[in-house]
Amino acid sequence: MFQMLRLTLTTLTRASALPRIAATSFSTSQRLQNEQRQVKFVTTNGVHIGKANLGDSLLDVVVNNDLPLDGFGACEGTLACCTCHVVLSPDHFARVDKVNPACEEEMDLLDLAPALSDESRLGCQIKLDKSDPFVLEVTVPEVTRDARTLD
Amino acid sequence: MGIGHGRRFFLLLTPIRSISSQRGGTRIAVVGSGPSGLFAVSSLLRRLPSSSIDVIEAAPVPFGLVRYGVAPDHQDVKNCIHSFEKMFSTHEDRLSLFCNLRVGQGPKEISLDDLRSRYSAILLAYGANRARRLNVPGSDSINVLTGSQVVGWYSGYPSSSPPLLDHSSAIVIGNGNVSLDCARVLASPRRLEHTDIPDEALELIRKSRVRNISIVGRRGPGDVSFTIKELREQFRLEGWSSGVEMDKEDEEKLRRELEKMERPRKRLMQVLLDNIREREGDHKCSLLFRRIPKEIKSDDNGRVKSVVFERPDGSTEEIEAGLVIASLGYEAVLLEGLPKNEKGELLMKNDSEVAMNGNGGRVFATGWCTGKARGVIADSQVSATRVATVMGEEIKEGGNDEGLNEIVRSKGIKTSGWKDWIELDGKEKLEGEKKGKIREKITLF
Repeated sequence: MFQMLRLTLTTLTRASALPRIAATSFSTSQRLQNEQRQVKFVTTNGVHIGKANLGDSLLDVVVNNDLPLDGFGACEGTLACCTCHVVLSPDHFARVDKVNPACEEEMDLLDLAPALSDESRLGCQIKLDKSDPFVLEVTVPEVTRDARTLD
Repeated sequence: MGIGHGRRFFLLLTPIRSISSQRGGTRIAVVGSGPSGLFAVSSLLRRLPSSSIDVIEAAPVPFGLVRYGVAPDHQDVKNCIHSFEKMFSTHEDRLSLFCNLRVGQGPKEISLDDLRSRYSAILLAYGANRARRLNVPGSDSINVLTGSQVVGWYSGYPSSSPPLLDHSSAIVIGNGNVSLDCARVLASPRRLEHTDIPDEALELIRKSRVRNISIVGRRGPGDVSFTIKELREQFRLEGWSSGVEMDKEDEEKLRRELEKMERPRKRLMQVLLDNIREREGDHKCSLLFRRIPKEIKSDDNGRVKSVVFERPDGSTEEIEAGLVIASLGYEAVLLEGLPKNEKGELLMKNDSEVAMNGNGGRVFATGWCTGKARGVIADSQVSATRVATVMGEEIKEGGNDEGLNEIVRSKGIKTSGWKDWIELDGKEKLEGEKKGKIREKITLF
């Protein structure tokens, strides 16, 4: 069991180093590469990029990569807040909306999100999918409202 | 205090060259350890890597409304505490907590000037802690409480007193989430069994004789400040028949205007419209509108027995109640020495800095203490991040290396820090575990 774990770890380490070596193609590395993605979070204060695996939620990507998005995912993905609010590209939104449309609970929380838009979703509900491009871009909405007039 | 010792000890062992860098950096004080303050701290720690931050909290324990405001059946909202815990434990060298420390002019308090002379910047995040009171004849009758008193009681806030739940009818005045929280908590002891509600409160709710709750708004259904999730919950309470009563004109107007509303408003109004129904059975919860409280009548013992409301047509309506909870929102109490605007609110220079006079550290503010006491946790997060961004760009290095230690010592104030909280937290969780609860809050300090 322990050995297997170590084996997987070495494979993983090797595989992650592989893309840098041009034109080497092992079936494992290919597979791993196919399952890996990057997510680019565009914020008002800059762009943050995180590595992701298929099946990860956008919140997982922020947490696993320790991206500096303050307060993002305060309820830890339990559908109790809207701090992981992101705006998707129209294509991405449509793609996700087909397979995983926002449920009533998510809609209820989104309704409270500052800077809500038609392509808004909660990052904890959006999972990386085969059909996503290698670099997936999402926007963390610009928040420019006066702190005293939040309502 | 341990922190001061640590710092001086470190200086002795450090080669001379790095003494200046150790002394450098920015010293920041944050007043309030609720979500606004702590979201801002997390952002400041990252934006100002050489800063050190002291968080000041008036209560004996941290986390503000996350501990003493979020309802016990909404535990998931409290998950943000995990990231705060991580923040304190990974930044022990430059982040300190001072609980039991009040900012003010009293002998056992520290003043704003004390802070300004010791820190290069002060961030006010102390919230809004004064509940607006119902001001009608009889509002001082026994068992007429504010929403904040009831929330304090079921959250285990130190020295809270319990309501009397021995009468079948209760009225909750106000159309915000605190009203819904109070009504829901009183109506659903079974949902609370495994939460962090104090045992005494749970026991009282279990024995409650309240069978009839009216949530009454002074204005119309279009003016409610409920959030949609909480409103839905109210209509789904197990064992209760909950429904909205709405004047015909209001209903027709809402239905007419629904299509033109923005999505959030439209969906919220739809929930109200979908739940217009008669209440039946022996546990009823009614949402009523356009009833302005005019008088509270009491019995011979001075205990509330009914509330007289005025209706839009000028008629009056008397509703029986042995408990009245007035949940009319919160106001920020300005700390002494802060400038105010014509409304008596904190006077701001821009959206993040207070318009201070005199010398000393710059003063910033975020969250409910800036005036409007409303919004969900995401609003606090947004406001906190904004103010931290400005502070990160604008404040200069400086501040007194000793921080608060010397003044706290000289005034003989007994503060408690992060390590004390961790110990208490462990005790509460252990005690909770024995009872199958998340924690059993300590309410005596």
